[in-house]
Amino acid sequence: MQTDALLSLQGLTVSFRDGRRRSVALRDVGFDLPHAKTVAIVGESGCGKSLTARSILRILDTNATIDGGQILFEGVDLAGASEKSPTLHGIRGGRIGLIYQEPLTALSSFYTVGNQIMEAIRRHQDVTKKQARERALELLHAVGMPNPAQRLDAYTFELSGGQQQRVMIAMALGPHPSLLIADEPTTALDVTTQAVILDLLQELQQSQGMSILFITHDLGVVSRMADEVVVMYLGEVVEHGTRADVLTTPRHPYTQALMASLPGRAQFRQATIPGTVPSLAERPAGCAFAPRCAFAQPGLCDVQRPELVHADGVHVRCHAFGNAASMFDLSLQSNQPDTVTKRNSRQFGDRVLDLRNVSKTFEKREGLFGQRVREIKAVQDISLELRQGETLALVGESGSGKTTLGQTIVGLHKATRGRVMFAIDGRDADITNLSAAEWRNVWQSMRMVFQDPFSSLNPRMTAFDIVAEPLLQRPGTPPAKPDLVRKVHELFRLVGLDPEMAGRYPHAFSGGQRQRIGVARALAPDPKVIIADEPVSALDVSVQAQVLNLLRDLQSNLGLSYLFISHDLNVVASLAHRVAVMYAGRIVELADTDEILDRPRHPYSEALLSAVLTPGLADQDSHMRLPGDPPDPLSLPPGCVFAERCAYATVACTHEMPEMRNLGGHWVACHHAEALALHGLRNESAPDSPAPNS
Amino acid sequence: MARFLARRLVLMLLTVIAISVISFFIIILPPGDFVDRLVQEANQYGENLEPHEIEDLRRNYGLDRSAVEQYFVWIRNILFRGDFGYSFGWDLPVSELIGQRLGLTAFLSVVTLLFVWIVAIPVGIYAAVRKYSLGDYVFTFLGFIGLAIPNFLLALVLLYISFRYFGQSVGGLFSPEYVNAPWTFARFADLLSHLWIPVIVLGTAGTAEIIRKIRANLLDELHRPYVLTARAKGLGETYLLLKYPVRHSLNPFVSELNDLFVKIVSGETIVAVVLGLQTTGPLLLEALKEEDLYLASTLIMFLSFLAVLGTLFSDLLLMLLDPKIRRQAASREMM
Repeated sequence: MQTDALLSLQGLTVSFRDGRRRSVALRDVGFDLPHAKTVAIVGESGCGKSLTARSILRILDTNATIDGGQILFEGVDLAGASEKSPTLHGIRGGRIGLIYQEPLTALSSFYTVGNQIMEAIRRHQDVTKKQARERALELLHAVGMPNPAQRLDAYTFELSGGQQQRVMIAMALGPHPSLLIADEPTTALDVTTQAVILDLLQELQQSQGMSILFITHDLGVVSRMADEVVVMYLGEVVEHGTRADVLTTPRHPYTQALMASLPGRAQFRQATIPGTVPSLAERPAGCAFAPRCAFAQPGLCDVQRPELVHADGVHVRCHAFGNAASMFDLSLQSNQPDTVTKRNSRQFGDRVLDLRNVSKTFEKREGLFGQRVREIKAVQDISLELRQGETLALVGESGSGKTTLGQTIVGLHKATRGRVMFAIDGRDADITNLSAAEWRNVWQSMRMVFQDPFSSLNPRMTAFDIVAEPLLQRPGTPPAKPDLVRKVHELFRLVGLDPEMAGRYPHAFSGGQRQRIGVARALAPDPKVIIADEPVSALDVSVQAQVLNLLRDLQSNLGLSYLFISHDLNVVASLAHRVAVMYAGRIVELADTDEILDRPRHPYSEALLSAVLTPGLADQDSHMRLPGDPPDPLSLPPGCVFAERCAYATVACTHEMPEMRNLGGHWVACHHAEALALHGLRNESAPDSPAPNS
Repeated sequence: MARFLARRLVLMLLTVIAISVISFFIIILPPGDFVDRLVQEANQYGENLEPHEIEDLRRNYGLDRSAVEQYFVWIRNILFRGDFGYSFGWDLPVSELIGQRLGLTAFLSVVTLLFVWIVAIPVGIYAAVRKYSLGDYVFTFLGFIGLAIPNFLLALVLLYISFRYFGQSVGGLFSPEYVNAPWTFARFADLLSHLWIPVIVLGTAGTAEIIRKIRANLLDELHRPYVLTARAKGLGETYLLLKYPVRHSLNPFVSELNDLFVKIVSGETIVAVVLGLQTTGPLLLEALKEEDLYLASTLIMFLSFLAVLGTLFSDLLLMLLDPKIRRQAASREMM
């Protein structure tokens, strides 16, 4: 496969050493990256995406080795280059730049950003310090950094997340690389910032004629950025083709399943991929995907490894496209759950939770003896209701106060102002100021599910003890041992875990299973309300779909109410009945999910929606971008909190705080709500691409 | 920065005042005083002092006044006359007694501290970068031995070696001919030739501890994303190691620097007794045993002052090292 591509991987094989054992992490990876194009590598975590990038730069950890294959870059085989060779060091950072996730940790906080950019330039170009500084300034300009001259001497912790990623990009671009490897560059950013950074990367690619290797788990980002798509599974390329081919007519069962498990619209149960990506040490014989594949043919797929075959311009590693194609019928769609058409009930019961003008202010002490107190207004004047059987989503970007609000409701913070009413035994009780003992009582009916399934379970407790704990904390006599065991096992079955596994410790479970344990723990005392803070955002797409289905099923079977905190509008669209959009500590809009998604009435909601990327939609970019950053919670503007960044703001907006107004069941806090004609998601009538019931 | 320093100096002054009060009153607190000890001693020799003689003694030593009064007299004399009081036991002014010893203690502590750094930092870095290599195991082993051997034992062993193989005089910081000689270059050289034993004895445990600390801190930093970034920039391995992870890993070490310093100063007493060093440790021990009020209080105050100075030093170093702390200090002073 000799081509004139800028980068060509051929048969790349990388393995990890773990004690005496070696496990293959990349197996026979090959694809070309043409000049001035973007190739995206997609797949779930543990599939070898980042490892591929690090192999190209030869910055693998010491326990990983390249066992075979070639990495041809501008005529040089990087796989074979000696570790100390000057060519390799010249290419690393000089011809190939790297940016990746979480710019805050990827940059050093001990040196100014200017220092770090100039260092990259001077490493690869023979320039004076002064010239390097000028070039660094130019670069910060080019990546759209506000006040670049001043920012040059700033430290990372003085910049916002978007600005930090701009610095990373400037640093990577400093020595004029011909290839930019972007490893999940926007995953840690808010959606509106992500949109701006993706624009920037595209602009820079066009102006500099760079190629981009874009690594992401987010198929929405792929559809926005990629010319070609490489799908990886367990260290192998399973499908490779143009964006249109791969995203609109996925061929490999893994790609199909991945697309199908994306959250759709309108509260349907979703398709999922059974199980999880196996660990490298347990690589299946035959096709790596076979154990999870709905079409796998026993005797073939679990025995013989499929070749990468070329079919209609697409490379697919699947027996269904090889010589044995006649054995398969991929149109059967048997990946789909049989209950796809079951839609959660929209009949809600009584009000269970009622927030009245809740505010939470934190104090920051300053001065010699902490005598000056400044207020951080994290949450301001929030009123909302939650009914039995309903899912209300709290949506907003980082710093919008959604997590603080959730924690204030369950009593982890004490509300500074306002009241929280909670229905206990059919009566509304004020739970704003409770004693520790009273809270313990409330926590039997109001439970929380946390974001990170890894750190929210005590590693020294067995899964059984974790789930049993809230039952033992109940007021009154603790349940008898046999009753406890029965109840915990019941809970395990309820969340789809095998009770046999109850004796194991959290580390023995996968991320999705851990989140199920977290849900089981929340369900243990038969709660009425669950406050779920980003419960699926740490999970891979296929596992995310499993957990979302679980939440849906539990709601329809047990009549639970969810307060669902999320930044991901795709997930929210699939699960929530109503949505509250938060910005700078306030709710700016509150309405039924479809209302907000299709007919937003607040400019911020519009901006948020325009930044949502849904794979499969051609040219979905509406080119609406939010300038600047959210206001500092230490000094909020007197008028509308969004006015500074709003395209429709008038003088009145900067002076006068808009009241929350009811426009036919659609609550919005904007002076101009009636006058504006805002855009929602475009395909109002058509279901989202590959809809589960198609 | 200037305001930060000023603020710190004010706080330091308050701390030292508080320490002077506490140290003075703790020594006065137990029943009995220096005169009681004199009376006791006289009794042992079969002499009986008359009550009026005892009263005279008390008056002479100023012990007849109330504790508070004694304290203020002592402080007033320090402030206005540079007079730290009179050592009952030695029959000498305190300032004469402690001048050189304090200098030697400070010198010994600083040299020990430098020794610990010069050995521990490179070894710690090496042990982290070459984790589980032969060298790492060797240093780990030596480190545990260093932690486990009691200081006095190590002192005795080294003393034996220096006497047996280097023909040096036993004990002390000076050879006999230099003990009371004026400061000359030769005397200084003699000091250095004796100094290595207490430095090694005092520094070994600290060195072992710091090696473990630097190794652990650096191991945490070595796999941080910013190291990967630096590597992906094409920087040389040694350069990037020193510029990024090593510098990041020094923070906890610097903030604990004062602990180490205090440990050296207080650990010095027993070593000094064993080695017969002319430092403050043995003097303080003796003064406390004899209830030698002004000598003990002055020594405690000066040693505490050294510790407070060490804290300031480590804080300033931390600010130099970490821009985040620098900015925090700056934003506090702006308020």
